[in-house]
Amino acid sequence: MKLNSLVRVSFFALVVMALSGCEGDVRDLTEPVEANQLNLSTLSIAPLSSSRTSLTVNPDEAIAFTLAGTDGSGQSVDIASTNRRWSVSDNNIATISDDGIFRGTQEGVVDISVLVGEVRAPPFTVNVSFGTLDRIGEIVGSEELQPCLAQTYSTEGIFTDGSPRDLDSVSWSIEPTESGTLTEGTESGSIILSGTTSGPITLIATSDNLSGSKVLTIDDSLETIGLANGLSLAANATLQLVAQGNYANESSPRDITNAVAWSITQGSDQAAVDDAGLVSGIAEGSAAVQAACGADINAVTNLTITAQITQLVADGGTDIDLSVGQLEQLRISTGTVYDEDEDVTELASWGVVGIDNTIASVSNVSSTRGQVTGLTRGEVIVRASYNNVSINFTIDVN
Amino acid sequence: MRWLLTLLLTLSSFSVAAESQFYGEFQLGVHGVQHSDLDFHPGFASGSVGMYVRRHIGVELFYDRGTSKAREDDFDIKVTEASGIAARFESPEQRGVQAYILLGYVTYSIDQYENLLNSRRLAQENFSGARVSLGLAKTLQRYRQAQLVFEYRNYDVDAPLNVDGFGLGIRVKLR
Repeated sequence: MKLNSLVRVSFFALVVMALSGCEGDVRDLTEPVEANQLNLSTLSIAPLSSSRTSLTVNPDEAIAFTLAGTDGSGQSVDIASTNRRWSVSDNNIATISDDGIFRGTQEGVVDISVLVGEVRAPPFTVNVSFGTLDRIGEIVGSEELQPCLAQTYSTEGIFTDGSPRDLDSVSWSIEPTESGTLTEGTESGSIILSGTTSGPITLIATSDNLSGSKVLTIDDSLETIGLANGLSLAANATLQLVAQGNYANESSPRDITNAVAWSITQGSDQAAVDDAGLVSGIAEGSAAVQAACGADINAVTNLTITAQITQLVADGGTDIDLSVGQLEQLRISTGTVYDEDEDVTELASWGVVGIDNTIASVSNVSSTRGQVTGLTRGEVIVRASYNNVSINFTIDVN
Repeated sequence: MRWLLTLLLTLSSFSVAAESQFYGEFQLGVHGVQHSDLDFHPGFASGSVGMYVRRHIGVELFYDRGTSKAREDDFDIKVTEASGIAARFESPEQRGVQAYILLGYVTYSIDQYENLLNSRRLAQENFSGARVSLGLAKTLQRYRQAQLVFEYRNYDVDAPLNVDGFGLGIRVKLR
């Protein structure tokens, strides 16, 4: 009999709790706090992968939307786009999830809006309309290029309903192919072209077997490429080279490091170079590195690759006593005994080990690198790193 | 209404009402309301009435009323009221002390005021979910129908909000 009652009440409790799935929108409370803490002043809605200010999409097509916000001083603030109260003006035409995923259900025009705390974003209009790709739109971008100076080009699709839309996949190519290099653009339907050979070049965009093209001209304004000479690096070190393009009618050179073609023309057993001009020392000796823009214009620099660095040494030892407020310059060199000629203080990276930087600070800024200042009493480790080799200083502030 | 129906059906299924003993309880306490790195502790008063359907097993209705707001940063929070139903399971008494657990359903309202320069902005939301309470009850020596109670309660709610509380009160058993 007692067991029977226990079962009944337990059953009752379970039924009550089962009926009581959580209800209530926590965001009513959390979003005002979030908006307050961010000093959120404005919100704006944008498609995740497009800069369009309005969109046309097919029914059943899903589009992700994101939020951007600014604070009271107009500075942008990080604000999540997920778990928000997104809404559409007509749920018969489209739906949008709490994570900002929009999906059209039937043809019509809807406005998307969202509210965070008391801050509401201006509506973003989406036209839900069925259409298929009819033609590739105009390729937008400069008609003239300077050699090895990248330009961005973009296009869009013109659909059968007359609407311009972003293209999901665009294949870009150039004719002649050796006249330049293509790099994927940051926005949907865009490409970055860097021309190398003077003369005409045709840029072609293809999507769904439809193509559009634009004829461009690469001028001959690049006169020479400048590379620093007399550089050296250790066999286990890296060195970033910078290519400067000297253009006609321009008083100062332009950085074309990422546009030129880098190669080792001599000493490939001693050094290697990547597409961005980063040289890696391999073995002691010398190597010649070339930066070329097209077949005709190039520059070569000779590098000396020295023996591997295995050790850093401090000038005057690694145990440093400081008083609060006292500043001291730390110095390091390669080798086993400090040598002023091998000083790498300014080339090393300096920092306090761990997250507690209240005891001492160390400068990692050009011309003051290695300057340590006592802040409060205690002991802290300062580390200097150069070419993957580190040395620790024990700083005792008293 | 579903939970009220469940209560009535459950109570009516106990055919031994003559054995039933009623009880009432009153508590004062503080809620803990946490969200968005803010931690509020508003006060509340709580009353409940119930019936033991068997020894150490009861079913009760409860009602809480917020007694004070709590402030954190630019915000004030008050759990304005809460009500619901619960099943009570008690341990046998050992040296005058019993442990108990309450399992039930609660609906509650939270008012959150944002204090602006010259105004206040109110956000109100109603929540509902499971209630779980764990407590200890000490029988009074001079008046054995009464017990002092100390209780921890948690109201189920979606993250990142957390609502719980501690209460201290007295329970009186009535024949």
